[in-house]
Amino acid sequence: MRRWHDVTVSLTGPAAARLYDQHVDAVYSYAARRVGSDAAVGVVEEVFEHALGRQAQRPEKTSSDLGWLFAITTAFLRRHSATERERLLKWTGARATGSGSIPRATDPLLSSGAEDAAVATAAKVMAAVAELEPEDRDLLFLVAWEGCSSALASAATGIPQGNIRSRLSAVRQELRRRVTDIERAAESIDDRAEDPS
Amino acid sequence: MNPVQVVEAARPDVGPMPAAERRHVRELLFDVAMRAQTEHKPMEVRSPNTRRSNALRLGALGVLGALAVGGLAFSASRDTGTSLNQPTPDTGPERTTTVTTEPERAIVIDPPRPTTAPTATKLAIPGSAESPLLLPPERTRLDELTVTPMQLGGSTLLLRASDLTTLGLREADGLKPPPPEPPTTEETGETIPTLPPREFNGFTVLAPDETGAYTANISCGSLTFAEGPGFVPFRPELNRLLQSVSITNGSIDIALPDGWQLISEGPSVNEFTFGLPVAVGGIDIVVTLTQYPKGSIAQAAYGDRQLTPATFRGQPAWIHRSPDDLGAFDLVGMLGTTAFRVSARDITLVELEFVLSQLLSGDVDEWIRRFGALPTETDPDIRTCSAQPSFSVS
Repeated sequence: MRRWHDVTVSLTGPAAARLYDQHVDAVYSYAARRVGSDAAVGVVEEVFEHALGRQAQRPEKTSSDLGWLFAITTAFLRRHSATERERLLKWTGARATGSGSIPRATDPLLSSGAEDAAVATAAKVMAAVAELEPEDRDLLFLVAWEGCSSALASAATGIPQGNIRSRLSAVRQELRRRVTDIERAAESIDDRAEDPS
Repeated sequence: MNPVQVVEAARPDVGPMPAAERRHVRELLFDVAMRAQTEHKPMEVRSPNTRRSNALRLGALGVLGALAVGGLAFSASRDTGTSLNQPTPDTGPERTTTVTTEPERAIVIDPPRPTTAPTATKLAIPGSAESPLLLPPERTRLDELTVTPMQLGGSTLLLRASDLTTLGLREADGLKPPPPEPPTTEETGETIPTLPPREFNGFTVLAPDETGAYTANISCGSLTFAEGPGFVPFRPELNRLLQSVSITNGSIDIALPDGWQLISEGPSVNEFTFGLPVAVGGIDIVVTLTQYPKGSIAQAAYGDRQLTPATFRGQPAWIHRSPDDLGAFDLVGMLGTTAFRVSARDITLVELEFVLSQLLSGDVDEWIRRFGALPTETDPDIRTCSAQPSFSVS
């Protein structure tokens, strides 16, 4: 007979409850920023159902519960890659993502023109982000949006901690290149519009 | 600004997860286990309100006919024999009451709450080594949820006397029997004389308590005889059995008297209990299922109950009906290698079969996944003497 002390599970009962209560908002925020608040609720359910299931015990080498949960969340977000891509390509600069979000006041130091320019720049960068390799996009959002440290980003992505900075640097260069391509493409379109002949 | 800084600046503002969604997902994930374990208190047990239930039943009599028609159609559409396997029971009773009819009342297990999560369904056979447990449907509200660890080195016997009464015997390692209680007093203050202990072959047996259980004073561990209330203390049939018991160096040797028979025996195992709310013919009841993977009928039946033979799903079983509450019963039997006891009231055995057929098969890991970790052992190992008790029946 299987005795209770022969059974090894890492996250059950109170431990599982604590895990949920401590990290549900972080997981939700991460998901909502990437795929929107409506899809994020489903992602949260999937993430914790998987994390608390017996088939996905927390790896011993993972030093951070949040890093482990971010890793699971990142995996489940792949199912919503089409939604995320659409959001990135149609970036409008709207910072609130729906119900439950916190509206941000307009920056008073920016004129409306400057703000428009900032939104336009962001739209170009986000379009470039949409074309990144999925692993690079994951790392970028974990660091830039979730404020992950190198250790946390490493736990969430599986990239060795020592390589996080260099990988980010490569992402930055890739984004610059892609933004430049987008700007050139836009200029080309503008030129053709001005000179239809 | 470099592109990464642009991305940082464009970070969408997201508030915390909306409270309703957060609570909803929490309930979906943890079901009753969350409430039972994170708050470190047992589930509130909602016993059926007998008076209310009876009143409802009287009021519902007029509509029971219509419900019976629906129930017949409903039950006819279900194959109640697909979820439960054919058990290999312990020694079965020789005279049985066979139930072969179909349930006639509509039976509804507390419906699960809506969810977008996939519902796990195992097709494995319940009571097998791989799936020793029956589990409630996913996300069903439960009225009780407990796991009781096995008794250290314990084992249980179920005997049947020549007068067809039953007797449970339980021994456990290292746990000293409680000291004799002082004479009890009634509310009037009148002292009731307590029967003196009786000496037998190497052990002393105290007078029975109010549940009809006799505690034996043995040198190490514990030994209890349970026949239930309502019998004359040390009645002749029991005395015959006690006189046939001898204890030497912990070995509890029982030479069964003429007419006595061994029904079941087995070691103590963990017991898993849940109370399932069920609406039978529109009346809310609770079916409490206790399961003993690799356990015995003896353990499932042990307690202050007398058992008579019955048949459940075509297999030998034992049933206890309380003389004080005719609607209530305990049914004990085997599902494969798992012993079970069902406690319920106001439900027929056919209807009970239907309820059990709606349960899912699973294992201990599945139980833990849904309801949380099993309780930790609280009794210290105090087996300081070498002659720990064990049964030997001949």
